[in-house]
Formats: sequence, structure tokens, C-alpha cells
Amino acid sequence: MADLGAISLWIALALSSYAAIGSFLGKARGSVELVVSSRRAAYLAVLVLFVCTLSLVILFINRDFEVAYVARHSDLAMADRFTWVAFYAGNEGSLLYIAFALAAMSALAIWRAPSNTLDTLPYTTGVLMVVLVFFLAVTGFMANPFDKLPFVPPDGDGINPLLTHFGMFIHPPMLMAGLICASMPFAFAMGSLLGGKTGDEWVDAGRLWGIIAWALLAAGLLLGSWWAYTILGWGGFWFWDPVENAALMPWLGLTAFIHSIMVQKRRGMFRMWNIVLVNVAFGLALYGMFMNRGGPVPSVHSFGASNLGWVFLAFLAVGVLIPFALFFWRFPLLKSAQTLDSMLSREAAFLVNNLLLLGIAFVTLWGSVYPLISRLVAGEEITIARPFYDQVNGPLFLALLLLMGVGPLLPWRRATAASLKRALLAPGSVALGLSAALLVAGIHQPYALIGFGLGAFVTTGIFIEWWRGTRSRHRSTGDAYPIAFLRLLAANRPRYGGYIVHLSVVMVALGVVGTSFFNEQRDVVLGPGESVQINDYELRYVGTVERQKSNRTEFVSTVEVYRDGKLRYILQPQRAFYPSFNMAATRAAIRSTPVEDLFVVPSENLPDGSVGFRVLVNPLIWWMWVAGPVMILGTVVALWPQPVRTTAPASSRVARTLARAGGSTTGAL
Amino acid sequence: MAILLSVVLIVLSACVVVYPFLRRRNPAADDGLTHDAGATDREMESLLEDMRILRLDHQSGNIPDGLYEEQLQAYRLQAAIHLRRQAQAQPGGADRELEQEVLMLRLSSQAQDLVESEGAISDSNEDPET
Amino acid sequence: MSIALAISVSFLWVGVAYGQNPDPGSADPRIPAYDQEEAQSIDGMLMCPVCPAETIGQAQVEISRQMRRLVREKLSQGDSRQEILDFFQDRYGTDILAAPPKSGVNLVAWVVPVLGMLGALVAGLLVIRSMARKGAGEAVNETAMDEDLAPYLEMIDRDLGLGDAGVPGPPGNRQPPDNVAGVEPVGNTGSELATGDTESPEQDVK
Repeated sequence: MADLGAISLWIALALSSYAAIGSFLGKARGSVELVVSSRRAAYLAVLVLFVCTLSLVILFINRDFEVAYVARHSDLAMADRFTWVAFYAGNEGSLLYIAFALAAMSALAIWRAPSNTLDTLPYTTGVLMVVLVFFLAVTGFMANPFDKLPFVPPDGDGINPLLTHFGMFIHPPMLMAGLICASMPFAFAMGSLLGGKTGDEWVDAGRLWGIIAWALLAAGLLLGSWWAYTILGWGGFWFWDPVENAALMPWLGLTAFIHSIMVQKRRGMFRMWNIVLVNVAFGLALYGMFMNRGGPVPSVHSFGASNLGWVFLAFLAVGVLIPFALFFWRFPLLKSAQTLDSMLSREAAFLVNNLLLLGIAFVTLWGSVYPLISRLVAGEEITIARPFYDQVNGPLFLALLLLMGVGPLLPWRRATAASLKRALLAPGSVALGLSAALLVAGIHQPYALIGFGLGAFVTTGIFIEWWRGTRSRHRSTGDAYPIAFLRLLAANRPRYGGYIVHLSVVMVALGVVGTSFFNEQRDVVLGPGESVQINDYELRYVGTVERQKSNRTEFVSTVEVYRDGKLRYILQPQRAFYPSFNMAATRAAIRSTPVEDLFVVPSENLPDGSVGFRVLVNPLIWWMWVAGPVMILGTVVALWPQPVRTTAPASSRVARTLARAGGSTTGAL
Repeated sequence: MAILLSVVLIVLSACVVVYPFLRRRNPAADDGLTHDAGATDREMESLLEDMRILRLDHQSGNIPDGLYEEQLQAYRLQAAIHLRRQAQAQPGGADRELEQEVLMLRLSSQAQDLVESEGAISDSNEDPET
Repeated sequence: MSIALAISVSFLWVGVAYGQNPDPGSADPRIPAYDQEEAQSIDGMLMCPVCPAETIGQAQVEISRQMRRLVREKLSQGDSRQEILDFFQDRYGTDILAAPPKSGVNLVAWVVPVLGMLGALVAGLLVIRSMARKGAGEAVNETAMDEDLAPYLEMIDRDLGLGDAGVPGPPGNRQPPDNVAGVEPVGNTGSELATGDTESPEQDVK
């Protein structure tokens, strides 16, 4: 089975190499056979990698400890379902997963490529296959999951306890899939450049895959935050950790891209800029993967430093330099079809959107890299962590939130200052009114006031637009309001999907503001029977039960929660110690409501039976997690193919008829 | 078992890769090097979509009436010009309704000649006379 | 407007719940009274020396706990936030701080992104303005209203339910011939199109 896995890996490498070379060569020489053959090789690579992946899964299930990777990330005691997580617990498996995901997505993208990209599709295929060759080569030569040990150990090392949480089943695969999916829009753009195209052929495919990559990354980031919140034991959700940042930056780049690509789709503008943007997004995605594979900066995420980091860095350099070289080569061809009509337009708003997003990405990059610069240039050792990002990125995020409210109110091409003022009136009043009310109610933190106000601003603007559209449709068609709204949504899927996603962003903002500014924390040591007061909760520690499991010792503490003197519920936070990993993992007990989370986690178990607890009240954080499904819903709506109207088209009917009849005329005059 | 599957995969790969070279090329199949003939009218779609979005924005109160009218008329004109251009570039066809509209504009004999030569182009690989 | 009211009320409720002052009750009886919130804030400003990229507020290792104790002791002795941060910086080095101090050579860390962003925003707005000026200055593409354009205009109007010469026709559910199933015919909203003589119903929202 290990041999099958190893061989299939090499076969996949051979197929993708062939596909890469064949696509470029075939297109350049005009050899149709070579192009078709290469494309089919690319499709077949998916099957071969599937066999490869399956082999590794079976090796895990069988606990074949002769295979080094299996021995390192599982043991006899491990439940079978954790095979899923063990698969990508280390570099070898992760890289194989990335390669498989890339192959599958590439095949799908190529197979379903829109008709106007067919001409340059071989170039796109070639680019995707080059990336695949890189990952397969690195996996095969430097991090082979099928390497065997010289002996068969009786038991494995077991799976890292931090990975046994539910969130770990989805967060890493989504994140990795999202990062590698950035290759798709990139490849279509490169195909267009290589083919010397001057127009907007690649926009539809670019938008589709850009949004898919964006959504995968967003889901991965949110899930990661949720996992950190529930299992890392200190009640926070984002730490501006260098590796987190490395995943955030491509997401910011993709967010910018999916907005500005809309301008190219609607108006044929920003052609050059979008190519640059997609290059940047791809480069940042590679950087993200580089940071994950043993970058030079320490982090809770690091898989450990290794030589892989340097190989990735080299590929990153190539992956940035060559596309930019291509871009400059084709630069003269890429003139926009239209020009900007007015500063008060959706196009201009998207430019500002891009500016802000890239600004945040720059600040994040700066924060990740500056400690190195400081050390090398000034000899000063410094750290850049949360307080820095809060102060510098915070205002930028608020500005973005403001723009999210104003932008949708701007029509394409041109708006008058008067119409904009009129459109801003209602949402603006609500926002100011809310902020004033909060101020009166005792909230003084300026960022919190602004944050809540802007959230109200965006939400009001969106709801008013929904209301107006629905009412208009109701009046003209007589549909009941709910039906009218659904029809309105169905007729404007990209736009309304976007609105739903914007609402999910407001929810995230709500959770961030609520928790950042209004959380309460108590770190206490409680003996049995002792209580602690937090807000209007009283928590009484009852006792701890110690349970010995095969690979860990579990300490389950029972805590009673009282409110207004009455017992409301019982929480059971846990702490487990894993001797083989010499680490403790906690499982917080969280009582979550839309208003606030009550969060209890044990930080130490003392010999006299008392327990150190961290107790938190985190307001509004529930909204951040709920935002996830809402965002997915919005993405699905935005991507759902919308039947496009055509008028009684003289031209397209002719074209269709000609194509159908193979060029010969039917019917008669 | 593993060896068998490995061999199967290798053979399969070889077959897939070699097959297109052995098969005679079918001109009707899309091999990725030709434009697809039946492309929908993208520019028209785009114009109509623009008009629709304009209307939506107007309903939502984001565009004042004057600006709306102005832009709507501009789009309308553009669409009509585009249709005219297309009809002049591809006269005739099998569709009866279309024929009638074309006849409104051109002499019927000229239209028929062009229709026949269109058919001739696709049936053989000769260049049209015109 | 009622929707706007409903939304603001729901936000308001949230705000009221958190305007109340938190209970300042002491949690750790072994150290004399100190401001809990301040202690927690300072926890977020000091890094744990042995952990990868964690503050002492996050890390649960022993040295982190010791440092937290030290912070609380100093607070209860009356030290200010800056004094405590300075103490740790002197003892452990500047990299114990979670963000570089805003002085000396470390000012660069703060100034570059802020200036960079401001510069980019200003430059961006100037670029946008010049693009907009150029766009508005270009001549509008005038095409003569040819006679033979009329039938095409008619087709467009018919398809969009625009009636004569671009004026919307009566509201109705006319299905243009090539309407793709499932898509709302644009003509159904014809009643909203006005050439100025009917009031646009959407503008009366205050």
C-alpha cells in the first residue's frame, strides 16, 4: 500500500510535468493533439492523486507504523475518525492534500472554462500544471509521506491533542484549499497575458474562482478563529500571529480583487490593475504557504522550521517575478475600454476599497517583517503584536466599514452630490442616533461608538435598499412582499449575494467590537465550594474528577452558574495532560447566547484540589461565528448562475442557427 | 495488489496521453484552439445588464431622475447601434422572423446570395468570393 | 423609516446592556486591591519570553504567571502603567513589549505604515480625480440618429417594455418573445420609469 502510494505520487508528477510542457508546447506549435493529450493528462492526474491520497488514508487506518509519517502522527489508541486530521498533521500529508486539491480544482476549472477563455486555455492549463509540478516535486523529493522506517515500531507517537477538536477537521483543509485556489484566477489571468489578449475574456473565470478562493479562505480564517477561541484556552480569537497574518494577507488581496474585477466586468476598466492585483494575491498566497512550511518567524502555528521554507521562498520569488515580467511585456496591449466618469461613482469607490484593503495588508506585512528589519538594520530587538495592529489597522478597518456602507449607495458611472446626500440621510441618521444613544447609556470608548455606529450605518443602508426594491416589485407585479423580495434577490444574485456577505461582515465587526471593548475577565484560584463573581454571574466551583485515559489524564471540573441567586446551569470545563507530548490541552466550557458568551477554562490543577480558572464574559462574539454560514449563503447566492437575458437578438439567433445546422441553411425564404 | 494497481495506472496514463495522437482529428470537436462559433452576444448581454442595474439603482433612489434618463437613453442608443452593426455583418439565416426584419432593410436577392455563400463557407474550406 | 427605527432600537438595547460599570470585585485575594482591568490591559502589552508570539495574558506557563503576579503587585503598590512597562523593558529588553515604544529609532515602526497609508490615500484620491477629469473631458461618442436605426430601437424598446421612443409603456406582464425562463421580464418594472411627469415613488423615503 505504501508502495502504491509512492508510485502513484511519481505517476502524478510525470503526468503533470507532461501536461505542463505539452500545454505550452502544443499551443505554441499549433499541435491540437498535444494540447488535448496534455489536458487529459491533467484530468487523469486527479484520479492518480486520489489513489495516492486513498493509500495514505488506508495506511493510517491500518496503523502501518512502518511508514514514518503514520508512526509520527497516530498511535494504536487513536480513534479512526482522527485519520482525517492526522492526514494533514504534518508537512508531508499537507503538501499531498494541497497537491490533490490543486489538481482537482484545476481539472474543474479547465473542464468548465467559459467559452471565451478556450483560446488561451492551454496556457492556463500550463500555468496550473507548473504549480502542481512544484508541489508534487517538493512532496516527492523532500517530504514524502510514504517514506519507510528501517524498522517497524510497536506503536506510533499519537496525534497532537490540539488537533482533536472538531474545528480542526475543517479549518486546515479549508485554509489550504483557499490558499492554493488563488492559483485559479491567477492562471486565467496569465493565460490571457500569454495569449496576448487585450480584452476581458478572463474576467468571468477570474471572478468565479476569485470568489471561490476568497470564500474558502474566509471560512478557513473564521474557523481558525473559532478553534482558537474554544481550544487555545485564553478566550481570544485572533492574535496577529505571523502565520495567521500570512493567511490574512492573501484574503485581503482576494477581497480587493473580487471587487475590482467587477469593474472590469461591467465597464472594461482596471485591466492592468486587475492583473497586478491577481499577481499580488497569488504571491501572498504562496507567501502564506511558505510561512506555514517553516518560515523564519516563530509562531504557535509553525510546523517547525525546515529546508522546505527555502524552496518555497525560491518558488515564491519565481512566482512573483515571472508574472510581473509578463505583465510588463504585455503592458501596451492592456488599455482600458472606458475611463472613469466621476469621483462619485461605484468605480471610484472600488478603487478606494482596494487602497484600504491593500493598506491593511501592507501594515500586516510590515508588522510581520519589521522585527527582522529592526534587528538587521538597527540592532534593536523588538516585538510587534496585537497592540500595534489594533492601533494601526483598527482605523483602517473602520474606514473600510464606512466604505462598505457608502459604496453600494453609489451607482455606476456617476452620481450627483445631491443624490448621494439624500441616499446617506437615513443610514447616517440611524448611525448617529445610535452612537448618541450609546454615549448617553454610558459607553465612552470612541472606537466602540464608531464601530457600532458604522455597523448600523451599513445595515440600515442595505435594508433600505432591500425594502425599496421589494416594494417597487410588489407594486408592479402584485407579488406578496416575501415573494417579491425573493424574486428581487433571484434577479440580482451577484448584487444581493454581495449584500448578504456585507451583512456577515457587519456581524463579524459586531463580535469584534463587543468582545474587544466590553469583555470581562477574571483569573482566580478556587478551592472546592468557592465562588467568583463576574458581571451578574456567580460561578461556584464544585469539584474536579480525574480520569485516566490511554494517552492522557483528564481533569473535568464542575462549575455551577448562578444568576440572581438561582442556579442556571452547570459547566464542565476540562483540562487534559498528554505525557507523550508533554503538553496540556484545555477544553473551555462556553455558554453562548447572542448577547454574550460565558467562558470558563481551567488553567491549572493544583495538588490540593483547587483549580485555577479563567472566566470570561465575551459580549456579542456569538455574532462572529454566525457570520460564517451567512457569508457562505451570500457567496452561494452571488455565484449562482443567473440566466442572462438577451433581446430578440438578430445576431445571436443567426449564430445559433448557423452553428446548429453546421453552416448549411435550413428553411426557406 | 499494489503492484497491479500501479501497473494499471501507468498503462492508463500512457493510453490517455497517446490516444489523441492516434485518433484522426475530428474537425467538429473543440480542441481548444478554435473559438466557439455559437458564442452568445456578450456585448448585448452586457448592455442589457447595464440597463437593468441602472434601473435597479434608480428604484433604490441612488440615481436622480435626470441622470437616470440620460444614461438610459445612452444605453438604448448603444444597444440599437450594436444590433444594427450585427445585422449588417451577418445578414440572413434560417429564421423566418429574422428574415422579415432583414428584408425591411435590404434587397431580398442580395440577402439570398449572402445566405448561400455562408452555407458554402462552412461546407467546404474554400474562402468566400467576397 | 420604521425599519431604520427598528434597527436602531435593537442596537441600542445591546449598547445599554454594556454601558453599566463592571463589578470591580477582587479576584485574587492574595494581592491587595488593584485595578483588574488595568492589570489585564497591561497583560496584553507584555510578551511571554519563552512562548512563541504570545502575551503573558495568553500564555499559561509558569513564567507568564509570575510576570502577571509581578504586574499586579506593582499596580497595588501604586505604579503607573508606563512605570511597569518601563520596568519590564529595562529588565528583559525592548522585545518584551508587545509593541515597540513610540520613541527613538522605534518610531519608524509606527510612522512608516501611517505615513504610507496617508500618502497612498492622498495619491490615490488625486489619481482618481485626474482620471475622472480626463474621462469627463473626452467627447461623448455622438452618433447621428440614422433613419435605419429606428427598427433596432424598436426592438430594444419592445423587449424592455419601454414603449414608444424609450418612454415606458403601461405596467403589465407582457412577456417579450425571447425571455429566458425564470428571469423577471424587465418590462414589469416599466411603471417606475418616468420621463419626468410621474413622480418616482422611491424618492419619498425620508
